[in-house]
Amino acid sequence: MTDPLLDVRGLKTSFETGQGTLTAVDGISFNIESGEVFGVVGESGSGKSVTALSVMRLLDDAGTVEADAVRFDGTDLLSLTESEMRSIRGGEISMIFQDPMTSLNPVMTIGEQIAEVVRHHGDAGERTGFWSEMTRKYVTGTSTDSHSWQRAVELLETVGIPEPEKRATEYPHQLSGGMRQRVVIAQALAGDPSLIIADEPTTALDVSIEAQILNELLELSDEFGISVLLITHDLGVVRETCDRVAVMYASEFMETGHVDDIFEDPHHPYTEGLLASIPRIDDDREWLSVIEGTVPDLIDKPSGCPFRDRCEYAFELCDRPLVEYEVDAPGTESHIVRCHRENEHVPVDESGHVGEVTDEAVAALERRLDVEARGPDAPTAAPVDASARTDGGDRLGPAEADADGGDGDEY
Amino acid sequence: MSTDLSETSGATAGDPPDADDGPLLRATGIQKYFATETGLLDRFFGEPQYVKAVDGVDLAVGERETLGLVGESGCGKTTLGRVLSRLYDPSAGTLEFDGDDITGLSGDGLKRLRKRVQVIFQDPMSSLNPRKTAGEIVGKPLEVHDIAAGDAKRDRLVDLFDEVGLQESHLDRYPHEFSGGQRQRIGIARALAVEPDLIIADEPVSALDVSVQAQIINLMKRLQDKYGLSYVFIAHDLSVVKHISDRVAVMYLGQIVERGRKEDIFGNPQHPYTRSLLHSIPRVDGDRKRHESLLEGNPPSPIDPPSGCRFRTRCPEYLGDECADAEPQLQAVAGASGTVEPPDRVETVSTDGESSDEHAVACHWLDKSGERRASQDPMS
Repeated sequence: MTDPLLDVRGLKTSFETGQGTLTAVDGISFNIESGEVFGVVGESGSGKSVTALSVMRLLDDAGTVEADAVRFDGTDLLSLTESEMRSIRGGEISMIFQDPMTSLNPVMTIGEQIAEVVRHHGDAGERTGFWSEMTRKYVTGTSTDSHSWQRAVELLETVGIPEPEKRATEYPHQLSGGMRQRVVIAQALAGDPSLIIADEPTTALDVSIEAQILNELLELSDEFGISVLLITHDLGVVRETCDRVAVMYASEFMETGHVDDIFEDPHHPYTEGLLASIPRIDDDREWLSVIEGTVPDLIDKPSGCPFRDRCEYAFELCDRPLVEYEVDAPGTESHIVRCHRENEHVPVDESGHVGEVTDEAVAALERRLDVEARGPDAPTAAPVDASARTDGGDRLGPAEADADGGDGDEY
Repeated sequence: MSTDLSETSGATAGDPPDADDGPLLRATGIQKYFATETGLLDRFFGEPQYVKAVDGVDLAVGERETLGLVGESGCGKTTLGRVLSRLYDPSAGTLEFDGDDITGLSGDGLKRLRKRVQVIFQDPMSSLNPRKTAGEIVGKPLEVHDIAAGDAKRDRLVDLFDEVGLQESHLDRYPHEFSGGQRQRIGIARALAVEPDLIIADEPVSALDVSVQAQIINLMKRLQDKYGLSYVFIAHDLSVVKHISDRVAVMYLGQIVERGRKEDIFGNPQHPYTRSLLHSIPRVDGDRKRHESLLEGNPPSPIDPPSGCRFRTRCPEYLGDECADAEPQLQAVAGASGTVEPPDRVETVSTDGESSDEHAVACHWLDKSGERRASQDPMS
């Protein structure tokens, strides 16, 4: 397997607050292959957006970002200088935010806003110095004959905006919400990116427009081989859009895998609970399942599983630090679950509840913790990457059948 | 007993309404136009322009019934909700509540109506006064309507909080100290405080996370069972609407294009708009990458809606001139009531306008339902 486009290992972001240290992202690992659509799904406050901002280094001094690795196309993003990072942002990696009205400049025409990105990230041969840009912005405007303007019009056409020449001269408030989000996508394409990070790109839109925008994103991803990191709270969007998905809860990834595996064979109790709690268009349940309780406080977050207080299957090991367990996945993608129920020595009965915990199980957990503690250099610690895991030896083989045997009847 | 809202004897206003005659709330020919802002010259010489937010809506809500109102943003569902609760005065049409005409109610009569019709808003943060404690917010309607004061009020508040899943200790906290789900519970407690008969809930769960959404929906259903409430549930999320509603009305550009029992709307949708909307929902258990939306473009402006059928500019099943020439009226679909009939066996019958249970649709397709439609069955 070739190196993934984006490889994030052990990302941890924290903020100092008056009450203590808030851990917004707590040791997450994932990778995104070229052309892949990777979803991060979770409730508000789970740390999805901070994950994206950390990768893009957009947190400034507000947060502390630590990671074993954040490698994009072989480059370590965390070691770049700010100016090198700036050329990557909007270029190799671009971002789409939730609300297109606030991410577009209300006093610049949309053509101007896209052309500016083209000039800064392309080789248009146009001057991009401070005074040149100021003159364009406030005096002359971008010449409609220039390469950057023509490219802007072309991009507007690519994202399905009718009459792009005319639209390019309009301001954001003259467009509908769906059209604005298309403009933002055009802007994201302007730097010829290989990765687009889309943070709730359709949350502000109606279902019919949402479908149009998601379609557009998928088509562009296919057409130009662009990878997408899609951040959303909407499980339906994930199901229909993503190749792989990570389920995030209280700043940690609970379960990562192919969408089909996650939705049809969820192993983590939180994923199960989440899937059961959404009303579906084709079910006739009178009452929705509810995950009791609330999300734990992320300030001075205790170690161990953050879901254990709300989990109906919680048992003794749940206050121990979480490790990654790989479960058998029907597809070729690996399916990673961070739940101690998956420990091969933990007896799980038909209902999914855990019986007596043996010393063997504790010892197995200690071994895994030890392996993970050795850091990214140890071959076995490579997360989410199936091929790296297999050469890690037998100790970390997939959890045995008895570990996930009880999961079949729960949902 | 039925309370005459136009009289001043308010003592019986909280009693449960009769279960026999007619719906609890009936709206007939409701219109709500807003004048657009115009310049000084236009004000004197120009033609006034109106946003036709709601343009001729008939609907009825029965007792202990939930009517779901769905549509895209800008279709007028929120405006309609506000007219139904008399927060807006309708530009035309009549509203009847429990047999009384409430269209022109004001003063004391309106205050008594408020005791029976309550509203829950979308954003619990902006609908709760940040400077008042939760107890003060929920207690205010008790004072205004002389329901309880002093210790009795405190007891009532404790009961109310318990009812919506909050604790007594929450009474003295301010809105910012609560999570989104808890804030919406406060909003529900406030609506519940006066023991209303009807609650208009405007997107009550759209601002909430899925797991919290489920808690609030379950709470609303439980309260309905316990107190015999009626709901008008306004939402853009079809799955949520399907879950909570008994009957559903689909709105497009200020008009209802299809209404009926939820089994009919979701099992046998007739209007191309309903079909397209159902088709657009991202499904958790559907096939992947199946976004081919039938809906192109955006809804037209409600200032100058298209002639004939308002949906014709986006309709995937556009028939031609007849869609542009004649405005389709709501007509009953025969053979409804939950069973899925293939579209080619649907016959048209006339509506008598009285039975609101009927599956009715405003579309010219209904007249030629023997013919094969352009779009597939959205549920397949």
